[in-house]
Amino acid sequence: MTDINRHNFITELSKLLTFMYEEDRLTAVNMYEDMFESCPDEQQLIHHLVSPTRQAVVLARTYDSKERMLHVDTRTKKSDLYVEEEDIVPAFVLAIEKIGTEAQQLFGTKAAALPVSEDQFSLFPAADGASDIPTVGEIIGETAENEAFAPAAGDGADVPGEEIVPVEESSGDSVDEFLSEYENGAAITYREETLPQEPSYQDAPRVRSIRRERSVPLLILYSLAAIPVCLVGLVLLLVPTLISLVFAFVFAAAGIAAVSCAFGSFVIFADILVVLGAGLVLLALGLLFLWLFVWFIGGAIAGMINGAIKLGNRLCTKEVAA
Amino acid sequence: MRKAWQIVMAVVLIVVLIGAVSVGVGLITGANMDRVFNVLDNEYNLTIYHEYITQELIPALLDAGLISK
Repeated sequence: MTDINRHNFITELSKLLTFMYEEDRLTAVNMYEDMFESCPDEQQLIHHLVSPTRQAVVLARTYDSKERMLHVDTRTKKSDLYVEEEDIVPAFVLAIEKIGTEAQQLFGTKAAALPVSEDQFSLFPAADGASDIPTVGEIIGETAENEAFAPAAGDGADVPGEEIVPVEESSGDSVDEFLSEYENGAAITYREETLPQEPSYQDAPRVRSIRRERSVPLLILYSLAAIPVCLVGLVLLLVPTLISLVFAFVFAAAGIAAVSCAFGSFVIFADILVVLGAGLVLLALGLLFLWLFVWFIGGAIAGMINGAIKLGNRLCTKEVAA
Repeated sequence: MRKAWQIVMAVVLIVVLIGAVSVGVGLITGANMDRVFNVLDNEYNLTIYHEYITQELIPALLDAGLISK
C-alpha cells in the first residue's frame, strides 16, 4: 500500500465506482477528495482506508441503484434547472461521511475538519485554542456515536461507550470476507436481499448543487449527424403534409359548392337534403384533412425537431457537481 | 394535441352523421339521384370532369405505371 498515493487512490476509486450514476460517482469522489484535504497525513489515511477496492465495496453495499434511478429520472424530468435542493441524503454519502468521521477521530483532526464560515458563529473557541470546552467535531462525533450505537429504547441497558462494538467493525469484517472471497476467485453473486439493512437517514436535510456542462466537440459531431437526418425526415414528412393540404382544399371546395348548390339550384326538398348531406360529409372530410395538415406541421415536424434538440442536449452534456 | 385530436374527430363524426342522416332522409322522402346528378352536371359540368378522368387521366397513369388495374 505504500506505493499508492492520493491521486492513484482517487483515480482507482473513480474507476471502480462506475456502477453508480455519474452525479453520485462525482459526489463520492469529491467527498474522498475532501477527506484527503482535511487529513494531515495522506499515507495514514490511505492505510486507514485500506484500498480503493475496499471503499468501492463499502459504497456498493450502501448504494441503492433503484432508488437513485428514480431520483435521477425525477430530477431530469422535473426541470432544466441545474441547481436543485434535495431533502434526502443518499446512504452512500452517509457511509463516506462516517468513514471520514472515523478518520478524523483517528488522526485528531476533528475541529480542523469543521471550519466555521464567516456568515456563521460558533459558541466554541477555535480548535487550536487550549480549552476544556468540547469542539464542534467532538460534539458531532459523540452524537453520531450515540445515534449509531444507542441501545434500543426500553431495554434499560446503560452500556458504557468503551464496551460497545462499533457497527463499522462488523460491516468491515463482512467487507473483508467479501474481498477475500473475491481475491480467492470464489463465485460471488450480488443479491440485494442478503445485504445488511442500512439505517434510514431521510430526516437529515442536505443541499447539493449540480450543473451541466456542454461538450462542444460532441455537440459539433451531433449537429453534423443530426442536421442531414432531420432534413431527410423533414422532406419525408412534407409529402403527406402537402397531400393532406391538397385533399383538404379539394374536399372543402366540393363541400362548399354542394351546400351552396343545394340551396340555389334545387327546388325539391328531398333533393336538397341529399345534396346538403353529401356536402356536409365532404366538409367533414375537408376538416379532417385540414387537421391532418396542421398535425403534420405542428406535431410531427415540430416534434421531430424538438426531439432532435433534446436528444442532442442529453447526449452532448453531462452533469457534474458544482 | 391529444385533446385536439379528440375534438376534431368528434366534430368530424357529428358532421358525417348529420350528412348521412340527411342523405338517408332525402332518399327516403323521394329524392331521385338522376335528377340530382343532372342538376349538378348543369351547374358544374360533372360529365366533362368524369370523362376526363376516366378516358384520359386514368389511362395516362396506367401507362406511366403509377397505378395498376
